[in-house]
Amino acid sequence: MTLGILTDCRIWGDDYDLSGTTNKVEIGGSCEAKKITNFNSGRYDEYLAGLKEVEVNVSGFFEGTTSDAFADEFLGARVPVTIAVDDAAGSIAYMGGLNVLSAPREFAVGEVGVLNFGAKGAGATMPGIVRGALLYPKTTITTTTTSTGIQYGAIGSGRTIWAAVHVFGATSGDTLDVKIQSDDNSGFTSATDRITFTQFAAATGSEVKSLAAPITDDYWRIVATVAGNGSESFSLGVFFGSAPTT
Amino acid sequence: MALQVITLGYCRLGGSFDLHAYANKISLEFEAEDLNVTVFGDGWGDHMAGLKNGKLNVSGFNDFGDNLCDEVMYGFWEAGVNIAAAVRPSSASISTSNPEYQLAGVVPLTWTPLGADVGQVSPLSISWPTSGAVVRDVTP
Repeated sequence: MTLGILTDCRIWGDDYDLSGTTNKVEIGGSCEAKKITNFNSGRYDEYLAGLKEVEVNVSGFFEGTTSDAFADEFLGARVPVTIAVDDAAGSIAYMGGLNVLSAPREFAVGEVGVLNFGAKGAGATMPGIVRGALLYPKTTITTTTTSTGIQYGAIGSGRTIWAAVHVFGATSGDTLDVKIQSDDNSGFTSATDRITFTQFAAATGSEVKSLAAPITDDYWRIVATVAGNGSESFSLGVFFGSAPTT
Repeated sequence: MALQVITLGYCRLGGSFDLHAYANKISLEFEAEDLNVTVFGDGWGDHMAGLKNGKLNVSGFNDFGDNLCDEVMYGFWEAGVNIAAAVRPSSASISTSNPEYQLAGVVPLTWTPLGADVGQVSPLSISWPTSGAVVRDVTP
């Protein structure tokens, strides 16, 4: 067992990188206990796990162009959020379509402004939270880029693949196309396109897409195609994971 | 009487996952419902023990390594299926001084993979209710 001290957690919300203004993050999954105690229970209560719920709380600092702008834009709205325990390809990460429900600001004389936000998983069009990994850490690219890839593993039947791309920066007049490929070897000698995101045309933002499993390939990578007027620059990061199909 | 300092706490989930490898505290709580059956004529309150239930509490540290704590515990919560559990004071063999509490099921109601400040280790903390019978086993 090797424990790690959390120093490089990543917190992405849509096209905002909140990592630099956050110093604590909590992801809490829970479900209701449904009592099914009956006359055959042998005098012991019996329960089943009911509906699941996810709550995310992020604590940090007020910063006008990131945390505050994010809270202002998304309070009361649903937003894709990716939280990773480290800033490296393959780091464990969680992604959810979260409803931002609270964003209190606090200002005290002599102190750095505080901004926290609380959110809950929406669960309507995607699971409240999906466990996976950073397929591609936040990187600024200026040319078409193919990532090295990670050996995430095959995705079995009964599960759905969920992927999210966050585009943090874009240049005017340029386009970015991102797709996820898989293969059965680290050299990607026979890569297959699995998920293709909508083109980002000179714009930042995010998108979540899904794909039904099973897929036996265990190596996964992205291909980010950049085109434009010759001075293209895009900043992006990609989450990849899976959850039981609902 | 043989008191013991706990250094090798044991908690196995699902018959194969040793949660104690990530834990620094394990507690089992058992209780029975307090049924008040006092009637007219009773000079004192009259009670009976009703249905029994329990709670497994484990705290420690979460490990995000492949196939380790976070992956397994998240899998339990994600599946939402009750899990058998075995808890005893020491990982030594079961004995009269090292009884094992065998829980027919614990309900994976919560999993908090991340809950730490920058510079800290993410904690492990569960408080899952039991479901079904509990057996105290002292047979090696």
